[in-house]
Amino acid sequence: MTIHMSIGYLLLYLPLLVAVSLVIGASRHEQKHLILDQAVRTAVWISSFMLGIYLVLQIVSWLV
Amino acid sequence: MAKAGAPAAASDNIVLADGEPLNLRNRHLAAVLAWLLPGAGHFYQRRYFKSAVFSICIFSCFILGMLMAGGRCVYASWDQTEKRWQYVLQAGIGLPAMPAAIQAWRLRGGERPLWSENFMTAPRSTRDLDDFNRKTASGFDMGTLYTMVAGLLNILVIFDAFAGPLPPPVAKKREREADEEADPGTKPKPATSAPNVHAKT
Repeated sequence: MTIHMSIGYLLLYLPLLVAVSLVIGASRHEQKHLILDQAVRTAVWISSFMLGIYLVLQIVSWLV
Repeated sequence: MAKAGAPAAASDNIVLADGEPLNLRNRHLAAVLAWLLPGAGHFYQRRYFKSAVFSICIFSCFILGMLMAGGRCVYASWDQTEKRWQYVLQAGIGLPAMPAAIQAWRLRGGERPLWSENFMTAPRSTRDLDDFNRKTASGFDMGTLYTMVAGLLNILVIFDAFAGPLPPPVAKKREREADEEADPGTKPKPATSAPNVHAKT
């Protein structure tokens, strides 16, 4: 069994990622460049976490 | 040592953020404004860039969510048909979610809805709720998620308007190194909280 990814659903994740990252970045800093820097790091962290979960699910689906 | 997000001794409304003093003006009023309209509290505090970031991000999430669900995902209901706990989170966005509470209050009192029957009103039965889901496919769930996230993000914004930026998390090792750098003669203390690495006294 394989997990099928829909591009449409992945596109729904982008606005949320941008909004969440920027708001978290702006809630931790006051200066523009620090806000953007924190937002990029948050976006990378969230994406890596989700990719990790996807890989775990993909491996489980191969095994089952 | 003053920390970001912590009131300084001179004034309750001055905090250190990224090494600069920040005047939060009337922080209680700012927090209320931030709840009522995302970004309004920061606008009042003259933090215009953050005000723009917060309002654009949060309103975009909320509006996108409403569009995905055909405007039906934000409603208040606590009866046998549905216990809409999601509304508690959606209400974090303040005024944009308030019409749902007004509609629910009027319907409960046996009155007609103040606005259209399709605007922020709860489904009348489980069949209506099924129709919501069927008509919008996954849009109803995604819209609910987007509007909930918008409300939750606004809670961070309210905190920021009230107390200034949260200190970013710092690894204990990095914190010890910063302590040693600041005061090389003393033994570093065990870390108790994450300081703002950008704060300077």
